[in-house]
Amino acid sequence: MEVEYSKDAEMEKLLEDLKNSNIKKEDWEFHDNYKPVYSTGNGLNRKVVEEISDIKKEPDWMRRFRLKALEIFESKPVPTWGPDLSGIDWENTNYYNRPDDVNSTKWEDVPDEIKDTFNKLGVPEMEQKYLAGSVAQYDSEGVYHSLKKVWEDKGVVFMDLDSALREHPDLVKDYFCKAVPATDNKFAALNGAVWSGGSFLYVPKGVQIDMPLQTYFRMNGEATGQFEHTIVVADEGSKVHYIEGCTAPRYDRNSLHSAIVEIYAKKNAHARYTSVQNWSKSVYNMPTKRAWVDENAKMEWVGGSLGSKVTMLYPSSYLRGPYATTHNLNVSLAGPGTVKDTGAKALHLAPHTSSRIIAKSISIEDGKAIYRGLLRMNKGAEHSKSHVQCDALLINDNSTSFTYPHDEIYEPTATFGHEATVGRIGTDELTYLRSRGLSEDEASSMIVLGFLDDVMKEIPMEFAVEMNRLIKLEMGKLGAVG
Amino acid sequence: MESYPETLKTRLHDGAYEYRRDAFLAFLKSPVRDYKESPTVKDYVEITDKELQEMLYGEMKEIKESPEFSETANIRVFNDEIEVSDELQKQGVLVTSMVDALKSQPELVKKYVFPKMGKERIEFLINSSWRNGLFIFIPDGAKVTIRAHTISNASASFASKTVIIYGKESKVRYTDTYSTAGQGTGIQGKNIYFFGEESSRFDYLYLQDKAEGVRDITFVKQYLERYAEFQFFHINHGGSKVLFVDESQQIGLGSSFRVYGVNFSNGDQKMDIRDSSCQDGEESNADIQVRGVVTGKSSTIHRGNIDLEEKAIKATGFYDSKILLLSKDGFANSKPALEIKNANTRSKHGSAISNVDEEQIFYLRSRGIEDQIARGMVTAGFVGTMIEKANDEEFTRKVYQYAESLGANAFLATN
Repeated sequence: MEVEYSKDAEMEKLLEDLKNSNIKKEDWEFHDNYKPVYSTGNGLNRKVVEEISDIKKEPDWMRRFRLKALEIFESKPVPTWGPDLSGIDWENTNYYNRPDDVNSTKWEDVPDEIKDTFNKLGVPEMEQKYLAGSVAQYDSEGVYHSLKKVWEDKGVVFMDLDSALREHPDLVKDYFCKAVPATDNKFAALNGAVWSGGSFLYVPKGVQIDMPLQTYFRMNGEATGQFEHTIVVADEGSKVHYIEGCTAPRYDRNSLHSAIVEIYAKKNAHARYTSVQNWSKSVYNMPTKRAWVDENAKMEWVGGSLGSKVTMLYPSSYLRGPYATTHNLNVSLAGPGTVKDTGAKALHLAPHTSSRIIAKSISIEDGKAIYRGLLRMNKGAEHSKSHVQCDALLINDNSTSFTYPHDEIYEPTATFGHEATVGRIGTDELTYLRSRGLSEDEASSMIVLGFLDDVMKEIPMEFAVEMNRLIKLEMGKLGAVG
Repeated sequence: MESYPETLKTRLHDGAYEYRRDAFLAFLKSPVRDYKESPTVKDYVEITDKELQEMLYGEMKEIKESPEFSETANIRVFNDEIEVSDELQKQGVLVTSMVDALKSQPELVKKYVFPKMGKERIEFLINSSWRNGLFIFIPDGAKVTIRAHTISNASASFASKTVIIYGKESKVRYTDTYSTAGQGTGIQGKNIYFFGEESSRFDYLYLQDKAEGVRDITFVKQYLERYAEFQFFHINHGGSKVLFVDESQQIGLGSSFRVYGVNFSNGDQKMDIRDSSCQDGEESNADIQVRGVVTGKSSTIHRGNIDLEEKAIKATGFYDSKILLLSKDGFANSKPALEIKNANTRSKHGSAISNVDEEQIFYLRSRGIEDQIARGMVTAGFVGTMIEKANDEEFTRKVYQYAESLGANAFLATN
């Protein structure tokens, strides 16, 4: 049965709940004592990779691909141009954890403990209300996937990548690691070698899905890695909105998340990818996300980087066909002791392409927010346009912010603009709000949320509420905001 | 190159030996950048160690005819010869070569020159291998106008170091032109360091117009004390590879740094123009504006870093780069950066790259002006506004002349 759903009413209700509830960060930093049925143990070598491939009963080409990627991974040095990555314990990380033998399309079949976890995170509720389909991944494997029948009938494929590799091998082979080859960077190579799980979404020609599809990633084990590989293909003239959410419990030992997201927006297609990551502060988050945008297609990236210890994330769009466009909205919140090295890339490879990048960052206490971006207009990208804006807000005296955009223009008919500002909460604004009866906390939260407004508007409601809540939480903990 | 300290002993044996040796060690220690900045090259203006070696062991070269100095110049430098007008000496300004200063001004050299080793790899190397340059000391409260013109043989490779110290409440206007005689492909490096005492004011106008093949490397540093003001106008026009690095060191409270830079890259030229501020002083401010014009197959990259340190409370820093990319084979690049370590500050950067506005061209064309001239006029206006602020006729004339003489090729295939 379809549930009647009004966004405004829902928003209000959630905000009301929020006011009354006394939510703590521990609410999603819990972990359950679920023992994996299979694990490759710590460390990474050829044997581990072959073992993963064997368990999954993969075709031979995939096994060879994994081994090749492992070689590339081993040959590439750890990047030193960004944040300090020395905390990644390559030797003692668990690269593959299989939670259960079940991967079901029925919620009832999912083991109770895992089900509880997702229930706590509110995943089934969301699916029921406003999703066209969802996949849930627990550690290395997808444990549940579903897609409403109406879309299934139209030929939409939505499942975890392992199932897709079994059921639609040719389709997967056509797109697997095309936009992000294993040679791209060390973390992409690592993903190539040990990838497990992730979603595969294929939207056939002309099919326009008006409800979003979602995958929820949950990392449970300590010092584990999650290496999902997601492929979204929006075929000609189709439209899709795909959402990802991520959480993990907090441990003393660092975990590693190194995902690949590949999006193919074909001619006249419209793809939108939203992700809100709220990894706990023991996670190194190193995903590689890239979209190939063909003629007249539109790609939208909306992202919120809230958690994790170190994040390096630069979603990129390769504008390959004329009139392709990309929008990139990104919010990152560098809480105490964390580093957010985020940004965006847009490569204009064809005429009349356009891109717009908006990045907002907030640094709290000694949090370090870094914007690092690339904008490239190749020769022949005639009359292309781009605008990049990155704003940073510093909350405390010891907060720091760095901005490193990189703009390369090879085409004289192109137009390009970039601007960046860094500032802190203005005392004038604070005084104004306080004179209207708001407490200091409320006033500064209001200013911060106002600063993020551009992005909040674009984020799906449930995530916007989540982000509001998180930001208020982070700010509230400080006490001495402003 | 590792045996260079031995060479230093015999070739440039002077009072600065230890400084030179330390600078050389710093050069050896600083790593060569190993990651690629772009898909094809490591640095946009790549200076290889082989080229640097040329600079280290290069010699000054004579020219056939006597050098043509600007008529208004009151300091004339050709190779190691320095000619200073009497009028400057009367005002109490000390102008000497760096080599002489080591002997005649040991106290000043010890106080200002030796502690400053530099920050970058090539800068270290120039600090260890300079063979000439100017040492200028301007006393407290002096009001001085200096016009310097330095000429060298275009095929000569060498490094020079210039140090300018100006006292409290002094007001200086310094016009500095670098040009070459003849043709050649020398590699010429220079470090220019300014030391501005309290409440001083310095207007510095820099023009580099060397021969086509010359590779020019310049590092400019301003050490600014309390309330010292520095206004910098720079024009880069000549050379085949130009690496121009300018960074303020604003130590003092309320120090102010303004930069108005212009560069023209043409033909196969490659220019890397970096203007940065490093602000330690409270309430210090920096405002950097750079304009570039790219024609032919040339490339220009503008980099600028606003670095507001932890102590720089209430400091402000702005960086603004605009590049006109006029030709199909040209390439423009901007890489501004903000490094903000204190929240009680304001900073902003902006950059833009595009061709000339077609509406402006249309307006001029409708008034009967030819296309190419119209484009030249718009370009001239674009860069002219920067340098006009300096109120120097010669410089303004030069900039307009450069912009308007870009030639038909500059605008080819832009429609």
